[in-house]
Amino acid sequence: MKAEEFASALKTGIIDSNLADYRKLFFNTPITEATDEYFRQALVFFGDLNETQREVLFRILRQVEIDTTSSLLSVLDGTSDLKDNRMSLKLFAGEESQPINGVLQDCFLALFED
Amino acid sequence: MYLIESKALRTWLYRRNTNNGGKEGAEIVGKEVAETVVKQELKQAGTEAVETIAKEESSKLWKVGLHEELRGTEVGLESHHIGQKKWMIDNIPGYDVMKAPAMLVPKIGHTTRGARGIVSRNTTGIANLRDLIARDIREMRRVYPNVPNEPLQKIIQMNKEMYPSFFKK
Repeated sequence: MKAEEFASALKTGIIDSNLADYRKLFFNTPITEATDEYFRQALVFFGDLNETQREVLFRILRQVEIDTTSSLLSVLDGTSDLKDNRMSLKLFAGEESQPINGVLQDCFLALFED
Repeated sequence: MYLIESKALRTWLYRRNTNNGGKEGAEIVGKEVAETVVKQELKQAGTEAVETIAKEESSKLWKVGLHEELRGTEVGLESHHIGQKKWMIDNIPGYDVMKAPAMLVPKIGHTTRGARGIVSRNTTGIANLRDLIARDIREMRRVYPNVPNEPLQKIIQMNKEMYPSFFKK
């Protein structure tokens, strides 16, 4: 698997998939079925939003997903460091002898440009 | 009098009078004119300018160098490759990501999307290194409009010196 393929899989398997899950949860969960306090509060909040505001919320959620994944990839690539830990990480896919990290963030973010 | 001769204050005023670090602003605050502008603007600059100067002088923001020298040097800043490393790896034989030209930029706008977006990673249609660098500089000015001209010129020159054969027309 190459960096481009891995980045594309992240987009499909995490960003798009999670967002679809969030939509289902918010639109299809009756508040009476929600026992988790965080989610009850979230549903009450969501219920007070109009259609436009709900779409803005989902855009925010999507962007937070993208930013978070981008932040993780920047650490894997060696662009960012966690606190003072200057790590050199290598990510291997399957039997590949060459690491696929280094340009993961670039490949990933390019997928979200219009 | 000290403030008038301060290079940092000149830089601050230069940015204030520059539209995205463009040529017009550079000419306005060029040579002798700079002294006049500095004197005229000095009263308005006040505390805000001094604070800005102090903050920016203590920061490594916009510092240019090799990626391996820059990464992890300041919290909140990230080493941004110019030209973009994915394109460079694919097109410049022997390109070394660690020993490549980079600039310290804020994390917002580079890794996370801010009010002015995020620097583009899309390399579709970029045919050569000259085009790539031009695109990367445009993106820097779009996302970080207060970036000074000097480090941008420096990183362009650094690329020319490190990859001279790829700049030939």
